[in-house]
Amino acid sequence: MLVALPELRGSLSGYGLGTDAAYLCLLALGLQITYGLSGQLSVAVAPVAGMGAYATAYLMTSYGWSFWATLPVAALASAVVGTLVGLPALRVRGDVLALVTLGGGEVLTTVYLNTRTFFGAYDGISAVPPVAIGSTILTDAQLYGVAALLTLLALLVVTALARGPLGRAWRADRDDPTAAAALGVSGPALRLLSFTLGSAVAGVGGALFAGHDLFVSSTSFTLARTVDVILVVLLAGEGRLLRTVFAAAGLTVLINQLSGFAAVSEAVTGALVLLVVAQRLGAFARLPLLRPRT
Amino acid sequence: MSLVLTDVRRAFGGVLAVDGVSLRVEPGQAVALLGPNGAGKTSVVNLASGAVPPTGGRVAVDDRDLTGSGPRRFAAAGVVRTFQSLRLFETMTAQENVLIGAHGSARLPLAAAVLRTPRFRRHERELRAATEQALAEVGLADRADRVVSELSHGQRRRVELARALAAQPAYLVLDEPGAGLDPAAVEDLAELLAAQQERGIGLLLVEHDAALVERVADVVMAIVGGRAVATGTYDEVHRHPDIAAQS
Repeated sequence: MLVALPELRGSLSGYGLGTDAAYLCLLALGLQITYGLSGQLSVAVAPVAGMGAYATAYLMTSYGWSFWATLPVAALASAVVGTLVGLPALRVRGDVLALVTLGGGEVLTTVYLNTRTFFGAYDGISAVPPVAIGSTILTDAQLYGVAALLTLLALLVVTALARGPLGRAWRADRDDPTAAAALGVSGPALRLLSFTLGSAVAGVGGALFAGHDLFVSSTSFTLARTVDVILVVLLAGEGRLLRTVFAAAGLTVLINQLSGFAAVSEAVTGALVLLVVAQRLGAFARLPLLRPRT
Repeated sequence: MSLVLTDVRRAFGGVLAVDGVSLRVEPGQAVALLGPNGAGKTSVVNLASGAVPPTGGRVAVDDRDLTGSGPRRFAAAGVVRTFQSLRLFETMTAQENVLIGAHGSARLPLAAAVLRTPRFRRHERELRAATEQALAEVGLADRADRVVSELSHGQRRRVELARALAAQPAYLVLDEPGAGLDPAAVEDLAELLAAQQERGIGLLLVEHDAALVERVADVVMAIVGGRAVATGTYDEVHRHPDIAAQS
């Protein structure tokens, strides 16, 4: 599917669409850690990934860093703000935590919009140098190759985490925090760690966004983008990592087809969220294919 | 070396659920709490495992004062409990449930887990071996890969027990382990608990099944209205007027 994506056409075409899908997929893989495994819904995914994008754009434009060197910094920058946004996870969980992260994301957006140093305030950071190896600028196809590789790497890392002891402990705490604590599982610390690691993965996505769009501003990291990411995770299923790749690709194509009608696009993703939730609650239980998984 | 509750009290709002209970569980000893519903037995279990802090009195494990500590500290000190209303990790398999018990408080080497270093893989193998042993002990070796929500009530009880055993507890706190089990299963449970006592594990259990209490418990404590009204052998305590009136 990742190979076939560049063949599709829309406002974004060819390889650019594939790179965009990889960006959405990285954010969704990050949310799979925080929500899919640990069960804590973060509604600040896009602004947190945005910090990674700003880090890459700032270091490349102001200090002439190469894109590659900014990747770990972007992951770290997003991990730091993601951890801050997730700090309330030490005390609250579930719906309340989701609301608090929504507030945290809005705070980040406000900071981006009103701070000239680092974030360029309303202007954002433009004229980010294109991604290059040495002095050779990557073609769209090559950048897409990089994006696919980063996605594959993230998929492998998140899969390893999910299958290991950490993944088990996250799921145990998600299923029954009381029982998990009685067995010595440190729930609050694990929940916070899921924010840190999920945000780091999203930060790599943010860096990719900066290297692809070459323009970073807070308008790219809106609540609507966060809803896209949540929708990808819901479509794929919590903790279903390989399906996340397909869901991200599918949603990217859909959004791209609707890109001439921005308002419609957001309405469609919103309606999709409602449909997915309705399906989970068994609204279409009479249709064999749409029966909720037990 | 023992699990000691000294004059513990616990109030919920204005209600005194536990009113000055003292008890001691020695290694290899089984202490059973008897009493009518609402007597405060589960509250005592919650106090003994750190699930709720006492409003008065002391809780100590092997001479360490853990009064006011949370369940994780108790687990680290070797106190592992089961729940009256089964609390399993419902989306996970029997083996995964027991694995959580096996490594609950162990430190998780993050990079090692991602890179799957040889040391990490050896550690995982050891955990899985311990898990398989615990599942075999409760007779569920052939159900290891089943998601626990698909298992029968009796099997689920046994998963919870295996999960607690895999944590290698010094003290096992069991809240009605025999609830909902048929006589044959209660018999198996009694044998299993006796085996744990022989290993030197101290047991604190709340149980309604008289046969199970009679077989397993060294000391029986009758709790009525949050107070210990009688302590002794099963024969001595179950004739106590407050307890006899219940049965």
